[in-house]
Amino acid sequence: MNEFAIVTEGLGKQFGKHWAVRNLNIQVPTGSVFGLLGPNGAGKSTTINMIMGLLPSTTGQMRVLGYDPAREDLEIRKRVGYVPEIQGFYDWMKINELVELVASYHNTWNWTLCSSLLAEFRLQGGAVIKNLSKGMRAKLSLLLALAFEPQMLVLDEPTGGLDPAARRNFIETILARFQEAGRTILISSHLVNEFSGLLDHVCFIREGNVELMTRLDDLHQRMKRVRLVFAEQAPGNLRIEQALVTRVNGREAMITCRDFDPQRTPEALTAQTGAVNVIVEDMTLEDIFVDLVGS
Amino acid sequence: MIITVDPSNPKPTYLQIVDSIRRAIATGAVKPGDQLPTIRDVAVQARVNRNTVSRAYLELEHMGLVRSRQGSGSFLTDNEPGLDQKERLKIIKRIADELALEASHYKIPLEQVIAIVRDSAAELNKETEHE
Repeated sequence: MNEFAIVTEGLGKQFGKHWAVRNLNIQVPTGSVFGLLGPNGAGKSTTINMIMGLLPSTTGQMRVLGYDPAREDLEIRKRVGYVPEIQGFYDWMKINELVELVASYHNTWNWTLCSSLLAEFRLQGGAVIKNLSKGMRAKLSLLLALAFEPQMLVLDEPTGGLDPAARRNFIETILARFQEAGRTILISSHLVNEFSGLLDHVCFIREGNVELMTRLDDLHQRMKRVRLVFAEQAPGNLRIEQALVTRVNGREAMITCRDFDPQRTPEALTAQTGAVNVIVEDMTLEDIFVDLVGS
Repeated sequence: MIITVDPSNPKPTYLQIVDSIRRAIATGAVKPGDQLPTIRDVAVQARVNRNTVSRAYLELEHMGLVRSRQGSGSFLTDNEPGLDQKERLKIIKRIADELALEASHYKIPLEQVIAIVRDSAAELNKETEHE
């Protein structure tokens, strides 16, 4: 098995004059749960479409489970369960008919798993797809991606429009039925806190570029919020080199540090600003998202 | 024992799981000899990466609180936490320093702080008594 399930080098996509993705270099370790996080329009879906071989790239190389999406997309789709943001089902079909159709593409289709998921999701075989709610469509998408026992699951904004209970069930199903050694999961989302328990690696994307890619643990060590308390009014024009974002109110300034070093940063900040008190705080994944790539 | 994790809590997930289990030990929700839920069950219930649960279980093993038997599962030991008295006191001292700092900032007098700590201990005892 390769060390990386997905590798991209210099990946780029140009639409007319606009570069939706530019010089993207990502490595998704095999067996990881990898979050592709970024605001709308950052290029997440474009990247995923290229990885799945659904969209040709303008520049760069990719290897997905060892295959080249440009020429071996069929091999990829045999091994990767893909749940797109908007599923283009044949609305006129019944659930059974669509399942039969998709099953016919896969010689690894597991009918026992399929029946089990249909029952668990309470999807009636005779129901017409056009009449399904958003939640049921999402479950059907997931079922179709899981039932052929792929090596990797790629989920593009998988829980958009689902209520909190449905979102939880979605995640529980992935953990119960899919995650095991050797299997990789790539999730693109901006529902960041919800997936934070699931992820072990994150890659923040902004305007088609990688802003930061790292293990989740390292991220939380490096990114901290620091409160600076001043004896008098905090200087309004505070300029701190390590600060990604600076907020000032009254006697307090709060800065977000991108490369926090517990041995050096607090002292450096005191020396630089003359603050009388320095308090370090952890950030949630959502806090980090907002300060790192929020518009 | 039911393990919950707060996804918006910045505390590392595996530590939240460790804390959840330590709390369960303190309240008697798990007793020595009890089998812990499987890694898979915890992952699904708490909606957390299985590797993270694995890591939490490993941490508990290092602490001497849990023992894994290949093929059978993980069981709560009847050991005291695997730290010597000095290390345990160091941990408590650190929490005490934080408490003293906060009390000073919020101008809460010492006697009141001590009363509050006594109340917390009493509540914990009451929870433990409830079996």
